[in-house]
Amino acid sequence: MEQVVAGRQSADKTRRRQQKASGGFWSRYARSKAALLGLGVIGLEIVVFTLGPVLLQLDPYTLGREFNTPPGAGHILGTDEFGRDLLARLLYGGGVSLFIGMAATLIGMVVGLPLGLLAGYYRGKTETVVMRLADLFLSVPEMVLILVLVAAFRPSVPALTLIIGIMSWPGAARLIYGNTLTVREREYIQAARTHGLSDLRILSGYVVPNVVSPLWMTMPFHCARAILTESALSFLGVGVQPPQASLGNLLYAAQNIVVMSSRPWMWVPAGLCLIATVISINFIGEGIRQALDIRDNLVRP
Amino acid sequence: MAEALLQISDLSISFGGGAGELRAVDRVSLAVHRSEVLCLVGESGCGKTLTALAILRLLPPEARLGAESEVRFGGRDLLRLPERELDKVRASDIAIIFQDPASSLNPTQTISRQLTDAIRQGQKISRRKAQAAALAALSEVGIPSPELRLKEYPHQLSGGMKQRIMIAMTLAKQPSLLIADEPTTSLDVTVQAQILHLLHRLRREQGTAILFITHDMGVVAQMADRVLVMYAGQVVEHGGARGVFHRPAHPYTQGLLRSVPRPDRKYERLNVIEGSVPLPGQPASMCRFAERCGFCRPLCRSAAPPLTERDGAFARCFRYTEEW
Repeated sequence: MEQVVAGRQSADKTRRRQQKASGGFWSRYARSKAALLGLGVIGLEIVVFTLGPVLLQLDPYTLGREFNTPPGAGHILGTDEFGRDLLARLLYGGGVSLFIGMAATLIGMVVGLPLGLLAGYYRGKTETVVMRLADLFLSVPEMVLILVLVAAFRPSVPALTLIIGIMSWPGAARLIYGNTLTVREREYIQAARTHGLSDLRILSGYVVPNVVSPLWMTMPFHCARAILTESALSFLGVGVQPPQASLGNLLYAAQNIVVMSSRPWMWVPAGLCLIATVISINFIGEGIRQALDIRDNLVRP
Repeated sequence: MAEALLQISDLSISFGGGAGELRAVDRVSLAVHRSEVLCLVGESGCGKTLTALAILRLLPPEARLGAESEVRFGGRDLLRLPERELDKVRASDIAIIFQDPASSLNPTQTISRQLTDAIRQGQKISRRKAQAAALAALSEVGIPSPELRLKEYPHQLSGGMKQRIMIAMTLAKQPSLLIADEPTTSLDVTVQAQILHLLHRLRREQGTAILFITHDMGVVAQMADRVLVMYAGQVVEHGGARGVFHRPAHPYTQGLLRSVPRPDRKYERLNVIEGSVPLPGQPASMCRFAERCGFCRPLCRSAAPPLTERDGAFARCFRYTEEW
């Protein structure tokens, strides 16, 4: 009797899973609680970072008369050694970091996607030039190259975004290249060619839609990496330059041993915010991966 | 006889170079006339598909064409046509459908988009007109509720449905030649019959010539006006369908026909052609079928037989020459 009940329950479960698996992207994404949490945190951050400073009328640059005050009534997160409000700096800085992460990812994709596509589709010389260039980029320690470039171009938010973004193109290009290699041999590409379609039409209508989906799942991971790279550079003092704030240069304060040990309000919130952001973005990436991965969505009879 | 629609002469295709050169297609010549069905028959690997692909220059890049190869269509040599001119021929004059309809359609686009793409490539018309033409083509090939099907993606359709859509694409182009590379092999028998029927109608109503590639003798019997049998990269026999079926000349064709199951003869063991196809690299100075042939004589091993006429048909066998 119990077995029968258990059997029915598991049948119910399978059916429920089937219903979920058969749904659209969103319902498959929403199956993961961590992915939903990640999306919630990042969404909240975007809202707070953009609207917060305006609504609360915070100013991250004005030097106040109260230096090094711990969190309290006037300044919710305290002030730094120049008397600037740390909540204002956290919100501005978080916005800057998030912007750099997303914009850099976009740049890497915009550069990497067409290059990988052309290399994979045309093979031959294009392939050799593009992919060996990618190897070259990947064989140089990223941090060292970025340090040199930043030193050469003077650090600013646009320059930093561009450099971090361009440094991430080989990842996207390789991914697209590999997929294009398999897709170009498919019969529907040949069928499209037999209809006399031009290369541009074949690439845009037949190759791209069949190769991009893995890119969606790597984008968040790229974004998280870009944010970490920015923070590391700013922490070393060659990233976003004060007085402009970013999560990384807020942490810069912790290089001072006195600040580190006796004024935790100056760096703990920025650190927590950085960790939360990166973890949330990774959750989003994992959620997208699960939603797109066919193997995880197979409906077993 | 009037000039052929498509005339292939001395087509050779080889892979690899130097001593390791493999000749997959060896001096194949054939002609397809207006509104006729020519069946190209042969077992896997005999070069049927390569021959078909060569017509529209769709061969893999590592394949090399023999210098004397020629594919004449409408007075021009397709093998030496500039790429842009060739695209025009592909867009409107010659259509090709492949064996596996499932992989011939782009999984990420709707049927409508793919059909209109193909149609608009051939004739410069507005998207709306192309859409109407697509709809007409779909109902023409017997697809129920075509308006709904147009909005669907390939994975939502059955195999027979997909092959019909491939045919609809060619139908809308109104090509003068259709190359069908085993279009029914991956379909079940009922659907196969429907597709063959459809191709027949296409020929009757639009006068489309069809180069039909298959290894199924039953299909050949239903479709062919003329038959061309290939073995190990060579044409071994060609002639009218009736002649080839009733009086096959080449021992290979005879063997092929004896290995088709026949419902009127019960409890009979099917014939098997002993041995296997020689590798493409073997010496050219002998009959390629010699090892498997019941009629084989020393002559067959010392020289390659020419294509010899016999009652208006041709066979590559010494038995019809004077040396025999």
